[in-house]
Amino acid sequence: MNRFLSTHSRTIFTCLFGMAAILFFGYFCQYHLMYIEGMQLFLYTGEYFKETLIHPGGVADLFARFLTQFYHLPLVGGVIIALLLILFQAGIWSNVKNITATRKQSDWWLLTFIPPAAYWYLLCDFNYTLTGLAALTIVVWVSSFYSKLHKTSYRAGYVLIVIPLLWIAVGGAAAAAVLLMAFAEVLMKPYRKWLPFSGIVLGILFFLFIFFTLPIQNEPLQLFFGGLYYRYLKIPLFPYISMWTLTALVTAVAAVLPEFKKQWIHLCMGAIMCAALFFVICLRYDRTSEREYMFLFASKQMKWQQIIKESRKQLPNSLVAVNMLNLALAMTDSSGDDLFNYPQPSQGALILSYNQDMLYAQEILFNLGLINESRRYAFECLSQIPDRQQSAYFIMRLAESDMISGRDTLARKYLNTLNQTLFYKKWAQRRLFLLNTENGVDNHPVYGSLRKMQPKRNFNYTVLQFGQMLRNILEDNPRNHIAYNYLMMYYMLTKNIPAFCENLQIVHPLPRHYQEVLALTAGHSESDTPEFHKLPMDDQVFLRFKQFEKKLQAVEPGTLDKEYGNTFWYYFYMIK
Amino acid sequence: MIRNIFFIIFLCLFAGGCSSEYQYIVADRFPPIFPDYIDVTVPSTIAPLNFMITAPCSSCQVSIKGANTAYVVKGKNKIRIPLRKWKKALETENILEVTVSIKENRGWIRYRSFHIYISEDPIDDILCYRRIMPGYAYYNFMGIYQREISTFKEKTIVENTLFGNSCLNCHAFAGNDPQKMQLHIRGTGGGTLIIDEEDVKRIDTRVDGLWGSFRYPYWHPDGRYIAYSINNTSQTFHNEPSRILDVFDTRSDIIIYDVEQNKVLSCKTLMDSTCLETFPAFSADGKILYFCSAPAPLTELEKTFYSLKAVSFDPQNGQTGDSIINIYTPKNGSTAFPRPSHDGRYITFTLADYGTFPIWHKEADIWILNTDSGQAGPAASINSENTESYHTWSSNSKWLAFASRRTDGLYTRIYIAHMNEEGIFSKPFLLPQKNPGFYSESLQSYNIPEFVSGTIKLSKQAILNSQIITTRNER
Repeated sequence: MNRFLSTHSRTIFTCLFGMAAILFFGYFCQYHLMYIEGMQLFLYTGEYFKETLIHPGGVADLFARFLTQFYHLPLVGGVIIALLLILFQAGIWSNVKNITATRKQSDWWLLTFIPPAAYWYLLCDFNYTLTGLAALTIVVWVSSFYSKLHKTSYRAGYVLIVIPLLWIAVGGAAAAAVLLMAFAEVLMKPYRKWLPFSGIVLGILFFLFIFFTLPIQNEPLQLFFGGLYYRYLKIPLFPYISMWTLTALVTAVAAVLPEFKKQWIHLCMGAIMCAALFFVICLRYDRTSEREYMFLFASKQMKWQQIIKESRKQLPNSLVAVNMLNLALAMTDSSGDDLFNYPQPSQGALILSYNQDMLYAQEILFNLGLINESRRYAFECLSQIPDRQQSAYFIMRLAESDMISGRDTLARKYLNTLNQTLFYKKWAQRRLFLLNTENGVDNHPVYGSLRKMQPKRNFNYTVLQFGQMLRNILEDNPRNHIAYNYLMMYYMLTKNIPAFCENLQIVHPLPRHYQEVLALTAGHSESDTPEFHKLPMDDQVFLRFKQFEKKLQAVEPGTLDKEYGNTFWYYFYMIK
Repeated sequence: MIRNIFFIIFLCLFAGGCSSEYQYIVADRFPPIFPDYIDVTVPSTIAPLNFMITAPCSSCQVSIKGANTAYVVKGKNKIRIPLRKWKKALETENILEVTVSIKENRGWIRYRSFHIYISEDPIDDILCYRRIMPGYAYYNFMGIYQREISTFKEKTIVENTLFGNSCLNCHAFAGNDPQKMQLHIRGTGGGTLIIDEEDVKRIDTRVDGLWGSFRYPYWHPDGRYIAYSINNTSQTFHNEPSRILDVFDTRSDIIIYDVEQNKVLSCKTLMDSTCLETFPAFSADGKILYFCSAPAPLTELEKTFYSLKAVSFDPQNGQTGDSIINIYTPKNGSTAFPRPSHDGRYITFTLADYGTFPIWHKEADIWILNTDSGQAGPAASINSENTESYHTWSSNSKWLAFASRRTDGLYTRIYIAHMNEEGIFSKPFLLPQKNPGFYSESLQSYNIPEFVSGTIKLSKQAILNSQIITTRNER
């Protein structure tokens, strides 16, 4: 057993590292991956390939975007990231081996996991794209080839051509290649010839010449990076410089450190690295966003019960999560019974303002039947994608909105675009079929219903007058039960009891919270009057309210939470 | 004997397979192609009119014939006409007859032939335009480009990646001269670029005494002045499905900017607070300033109607006259973008049901006014069921390029139409692209097309090196 472990320790460690990466990215960050994938649109068209390739870093970009499309299946996405990290590590080790082949065998294999671990840490912020990792992986293998060339003139010629070409292909990560090749030249004992160093210098000059004469209109830093290393225009320079330097340094250090025979040092080192990685990853992991994205995708797929079930397991702890939960409650007609089973903030519980959020709000507006508004929000989101990609997620919403609104030609344009993708093709084809079928959209259970719910007249929409907006929707479409549910939620959350009572539709049985509101309104009247008995309210509800009132006056308000926390009364009196 | 029989059979099969003559079903209708180049009139320098077949087919074949021309182009469902053959045909022919055949399941279908008419009237070789997503309030990547219409070459003039994603807009030229250009760069570090021959300056258009910064420009023909509107603009968004949004001005005026002296000239006539003056445009001789005007304040957007008005202009001192003349008040509708032809015979403008931003109005059409008779009417042959909006005349006033949303109702494309001596436009054609499927795939709009008579030589370095200059107000 010991022998087995000893012989295969590296394989085992690599597999464990890979599996951990798959688990982390493919499972714990699955919705992040889906979100990132949704914010790009990888098209299988010549035009897309050309547009992606014709700038510095284009090769790395195309490669990374190609891989990113597989984030659509998060587990596959996890596998891809894990494989890239391992390939990156293997490339570093290949460099180390080539250098130490001329010295003595290196024992410091574990050190070569430091740069991939550091990149893993970077990738926990999903604004760091796969392009940077893909670029660096290409760079380490290209550098590894350099250190295999024994002939001086070959190395000189190679580095002269590779530096500018590498920059054109992968962008700024080519700087790491310069460092790696320079270190290799210094550290490889029979080398250290002036000719390759001259090649490096000339290669840099050649790169500078191309850099300053290229007619691309980018700010210098963006032009240097070339590819979409970061989702925002302002690329954080320090992490990347650190990453490239770390890669070169680790390679050099692993190559020059003296060998040792003590097994336990390796084990300790491995354990410390794993612990450190686990600790920083845990610190960096954004659980809140992961849940929010889960709710977003569940909403998109209309999996309302999934949102409700998750909220029961763990209460929503952000405004957008509450928004999505309340949408799910409205869509399942359970807001009247369950709204206050979950903590509701006094403001922003139903929808956030235009400046605060558009991503989640467009789902709410879509399901309310405000298709034009939903379309606007989706388009604004599309316009604000920081790395200027098109987005499959929003193009789907645009296509749906245009189908529902009768803008068929435009819908077809978007659907034909999605037809050029791998994962959205079938979705697009099903919708194209609807458009090509007479009354296809009208007969669709979701689109047909939304088409009927669209406003018939213009009215000003603003989330600041959400109640008025909901009333306008209902005036146009009294059957819009989603809007009705929202209106009732709105009145309860704004504690507008007179408006609530005025707009209440009597059904039997009346939902629990609606009865609670009625109990509160009737609370001060006599219980034995004809008016009281006409109220569609269970006697038990009224009794419970009376008990609540007594306890409210008698006991510490903080203790009411346990017994009455899930009632409208608690929200009315206790939430300011 | 048997060998001979087999040989004969083989020969027959071989001959049959090699035959270039297919059995056709003749369809008495025009072919389903996009773009629609059926019976269009084109200049003799236009790039090949590549198109695609919009019906399902496994292959297609196009024969192009003229008095001295005959060749066939084949493709799967896209036709890419070889540049050299096309150029040669356009040099020597007046009319080309185009016959399209496609191969479907039932076999080959040959459609009715159509014509492409080649005009002798030359056209400016450069079209300058902005490419941008047709968004609402937010914008992302955009750029201003120049395209040779005789080839497919498009070159970047400026992209907003150079200015941290700022908005670039309102590129304009003096009499289609590429050496006299202006364009706005909004946002931090921005300004209005004025290019005058070799001189590139960036002016700060927030001028003391003016309530707004420069907006819609129009150069005086001699290049000394630029008339600008200054506008306070807002948007409103529609809920009902047939409309998307509207843009309107709550306040607007017009000023004259002296390029040579870098100062704003007073223009009281055009700063009337009881009117919303916008879209200035000089006449061909530079002695009249046309503009659109509506009563202020704006009360109800759908009852805001702009008329076409004019005021005299003295190029010697840059002053406008005191009286405003009414040129055209639509019976139903609102005018925008007056564009006098360079020969002074016509003024084209856009007419929409109301308001000042016709690109979002499906009913918006291009109208043409005869300056001699004062009569105006829709330029029927170039309008469609969808939006027609911004337009530009070629230097010789024979061609009009305009923005249209007829392809899908949202993404603006550039169409070009020829005008004959009688002032009648021919059927417009879509600016051709090398890849006929380009417009279907592109998610950017082409807006503010401007004909330019030569290549615009504005380098990235010249833009970056331009220093911001404060503009004086004469008042």
